[in-house]
Amino acid sequence: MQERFLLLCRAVRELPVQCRRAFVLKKVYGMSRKEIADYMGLSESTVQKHIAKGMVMCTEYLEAQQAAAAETTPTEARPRSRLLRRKAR
Amino acid sequence: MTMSPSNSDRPPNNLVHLPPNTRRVREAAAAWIVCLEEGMSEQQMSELKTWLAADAAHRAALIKMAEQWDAFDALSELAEILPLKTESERTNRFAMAGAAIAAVAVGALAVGLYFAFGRSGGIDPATALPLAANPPAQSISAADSTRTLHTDVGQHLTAKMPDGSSISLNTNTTLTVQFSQEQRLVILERGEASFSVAHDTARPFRVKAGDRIVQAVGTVFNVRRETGPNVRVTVTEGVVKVIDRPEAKREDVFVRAGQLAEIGAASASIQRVDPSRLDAAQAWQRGVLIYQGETLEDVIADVSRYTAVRFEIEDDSIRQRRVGGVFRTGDVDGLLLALRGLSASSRAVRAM
Repeated sequence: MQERFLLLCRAVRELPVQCRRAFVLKKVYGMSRKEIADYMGLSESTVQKHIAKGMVMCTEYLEAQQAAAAETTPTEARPRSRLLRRKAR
Repeated sequence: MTMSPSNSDRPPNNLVHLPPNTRRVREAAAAWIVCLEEGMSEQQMSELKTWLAADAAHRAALIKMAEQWDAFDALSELAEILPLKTESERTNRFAMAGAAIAAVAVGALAVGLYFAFGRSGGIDPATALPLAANPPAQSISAADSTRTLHTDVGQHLTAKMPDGSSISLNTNTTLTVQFSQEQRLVILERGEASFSVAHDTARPFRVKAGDRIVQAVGTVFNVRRETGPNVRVTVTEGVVKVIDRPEAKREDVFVRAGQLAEIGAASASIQRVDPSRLDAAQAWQRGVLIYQGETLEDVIADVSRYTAVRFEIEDDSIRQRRVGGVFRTGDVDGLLLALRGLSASSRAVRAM
């Protein structure tokens, strides 16, 4: 579990700078697109693109790490998204 | 709605059989997740449905991105350690958040360890005493010129002084406050305290720690009594003067902002500390302990100050291992869990 957290941190560190900023403001500080846009002096749609790109790049990073570790460690089933469950109701 | 990500990513009919561009689909899915989280209009909802229906890969990508999105919620723990502050501080603070992520990751590269962030499991109140989320503020009236403040193991207390200064007591600390016309004197009997001193040139603010006196005019600093006669002084703002006992016949030591002074029996050493370490040294005021490459032995000694749990390192070979990470005071279970990874023997570090 602790390795997992560090992996997340490393994934974020690999992001390009603007992308990383938008992503950190969103996921660490929980700011809205509007707040991030004001904070960074960008448009909301640019902020959205940065966050989305950040999420995808982080996912790719984690997948690459997982693939590297796959030979030794069996993968655990991850819980389904809380967000989607909430929206489904 | 221009924020909807679907328009450019819905494949035109004549291209539907081409293999989907995974990254592009994922980016669209992630953008939808951001929209979902912040709330969507009816029209956006119907656009999302159309997008989902267009390709089975869209649905899979949305689920995948949502899972990842949730996983990254864990990072919000960092906001508590490094809060975003005012407009003028924001650039700095931002850099520090980046530094924290880097520091946590680097520390773990060295050892493969981090102290578990807030865990859901309960802890035994008999052995661990979590710090209060909002430490009680006490105030000392002007008439109350002498007063003793005390914290038990695991407690944390902030007191306002009549002159506008404030004193925060860390775990297991006793100090006496004596304010007079000539000086503002605090006698640190035991433990560690941080001082935010109101400016008053007529009445210097002095902290007496054993034989040493730490003197300030208007500044923010931290004084910690170590075992024996040693005293550690960390200065966040301004300058303090450390006056040794007269018989030591030593010159006064000036400690400036961003410096840490270790005053021993025979020598005093002053070192510059970088801002992230300075922040780590003050983190106890927020109920958090931050380590950045200290030895396991030192970390265990430090953590022991916050709990009645006694630690014993059975495997001597790991004493000097460097560890890093963030630990919430009171979460002894989380600490032990994290430390178990250090040695083949899960009982190498054992709570007594």
